[in-house]
Amino acid sequence: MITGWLPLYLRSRRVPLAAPISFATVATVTLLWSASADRPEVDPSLAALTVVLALAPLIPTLAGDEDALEKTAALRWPTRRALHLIGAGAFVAVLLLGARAAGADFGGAGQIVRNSAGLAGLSGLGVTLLGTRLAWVTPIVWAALQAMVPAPGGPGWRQSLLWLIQPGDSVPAAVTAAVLLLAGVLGYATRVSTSRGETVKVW
Amino acid sequence: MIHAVRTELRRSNAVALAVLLFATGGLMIAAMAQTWSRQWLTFSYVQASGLFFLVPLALAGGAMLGRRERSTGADELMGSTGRPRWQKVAPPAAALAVAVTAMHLLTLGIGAAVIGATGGFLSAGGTLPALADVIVLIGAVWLGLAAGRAWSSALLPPALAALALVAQVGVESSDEGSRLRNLTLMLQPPGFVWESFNAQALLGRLALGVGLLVGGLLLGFGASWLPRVAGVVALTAGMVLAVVITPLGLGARYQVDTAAQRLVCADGTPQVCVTAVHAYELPAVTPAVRQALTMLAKLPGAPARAVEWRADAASTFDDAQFRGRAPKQEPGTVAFRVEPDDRMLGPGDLFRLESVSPTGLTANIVNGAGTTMNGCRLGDPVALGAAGAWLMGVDVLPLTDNQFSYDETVRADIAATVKSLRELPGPEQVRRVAALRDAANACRTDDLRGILTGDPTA
Repeated sequence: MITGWLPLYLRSRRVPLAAPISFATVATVTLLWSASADRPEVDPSLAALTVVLALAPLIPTLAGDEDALEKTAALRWPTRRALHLIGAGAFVAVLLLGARAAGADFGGAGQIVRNSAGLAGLSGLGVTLLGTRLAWVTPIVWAALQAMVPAPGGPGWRQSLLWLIQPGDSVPAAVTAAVLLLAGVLGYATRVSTSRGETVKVW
Repeated sequence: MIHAVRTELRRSNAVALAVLLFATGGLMIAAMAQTWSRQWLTFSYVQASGLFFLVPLALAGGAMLGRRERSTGADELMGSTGRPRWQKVAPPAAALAVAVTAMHLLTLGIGAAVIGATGGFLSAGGTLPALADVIVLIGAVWLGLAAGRAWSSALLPPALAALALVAQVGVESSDEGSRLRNLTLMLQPPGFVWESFNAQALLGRLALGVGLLVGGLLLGFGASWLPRVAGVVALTAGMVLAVVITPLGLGARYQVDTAAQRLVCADGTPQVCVTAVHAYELPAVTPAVRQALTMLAKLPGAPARAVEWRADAASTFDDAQFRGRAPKQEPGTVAFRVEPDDRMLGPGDLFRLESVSPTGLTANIVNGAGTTMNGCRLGDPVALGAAGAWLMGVDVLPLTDNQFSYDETVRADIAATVKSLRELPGPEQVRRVAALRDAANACRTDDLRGILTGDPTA
């Protein structure tokens, strides 16, 4: 029964702690913004970094205490792992979309979904390639570098490199986010990183 | 103690953190290569602005070690030994400090080596921002270490890093005049390559660093509530001091570095001098400038030497800042700019390093018969361009000066003005262009076109 399994799974990944923290960070940024700024539109750099801020507590939930041990359970791990990663991205997107009701506009729906999906994928890639402990480094560093150059537009490669701060209709940015999501979900679903940072195949 | 620190360097994540900071900081510095190419003071600005993300990463790196000490029970093991608490905490803290210091100084050293090897200007003053930033970085890792020991959750390092980033960008969004903006480590760029950080800016940075350092130290080492409260006080005091001391506004953190502006002159006559920061351009600049001086000598009372234009204050990115109604130029000298493009605000394609274009430089100097950098307010670009084109013997000047951007109408006007000027008798042509030059050099720039056409509009 999935209902019996899900609470145990979420608890083993410390989601009951991470999700409220993620919610609280977005709520804080939203409240501070609507209290101090005279317009609902959040600056693009701040909007991009808020996605990272909301996602950051969820990244460590991508691994339990001993994934290598878990994989011995006769369960369909790849599907569950893929759903976990997509769920983390969706959770962040819903939080930021919901912030609009509280008076802070973190960008268009397309932009929010693109950034949440791309960063969730990047976190999954991070877990696959660097291990859980360092998985947060790539999303945070890439987002921070983009926040330093808040100039959208330019040639395709530039839009692709600075994909978080592009407007919602930028094709290179959307392609980058889609590639990151796909690679992240596939990588994270199929390869489990052990607590020592080594990786083993799930099947 | 040294032995213990060496063991900690191998046991802890200090080296991995240093590699991470070096790689990410280096990536940003390399991506901005065009901005700081051969410019030491600009390099020190670029390296300092990297603290925007290096400090959050350092906080997270410290927190990773702190939570590991706690969750593996290493601190309990150490706690069972009969030594004072600071002796138990000092080795990992020292290992982190050694690693980040080495990383930051190595980056600085590589920058100095690259700039020195390519013939750029180097000075001891340019190392000061990096030295102050070492304190900030050590403070950040120690604060992270204390945080990790206090709450050993796996969520802490990424949450801390993201929070530090969002807080910095958040204060950037505050009002234009709000001093809270001083809490971000992202810096406004200097306007010119001879600008270095001024004392207040460095002191503000140092205050923040000392606040983080003492706060992290007391929070991490303190075994009772008293030192911990003192730690919070120190941290707050450092931030408040940084907010109060650091000057606010575009260009407010910079000053003109006199050593960087010292003149370096080429051998031979007529004399051509550039600032020390552009000394490496002297071989390329000298022939172009001398050619411009030859062209200017078609007029009576022509200048005998050319000197690079130097700002007397830090730039506030205001076009009118260095232009007024009183001439600032020494008689007999023409001023020119070596780098007409703005390094900071130009379009700046990645990795494309532009050198000075000799024809463009000659055109920039003869524009307005050598008056465009004399400190006066600029006059009609058509009249200035026509006088320059007449001197250079072309229809429209091939300018590279970003103060002038010609559209089709202006180009047509210039060509027409030059054409009608050339139809006059020779001595009259010389007289009119010389009159334009003298008027512009006396800051009478209101009706320059009338002088050329002999038909005053005013």
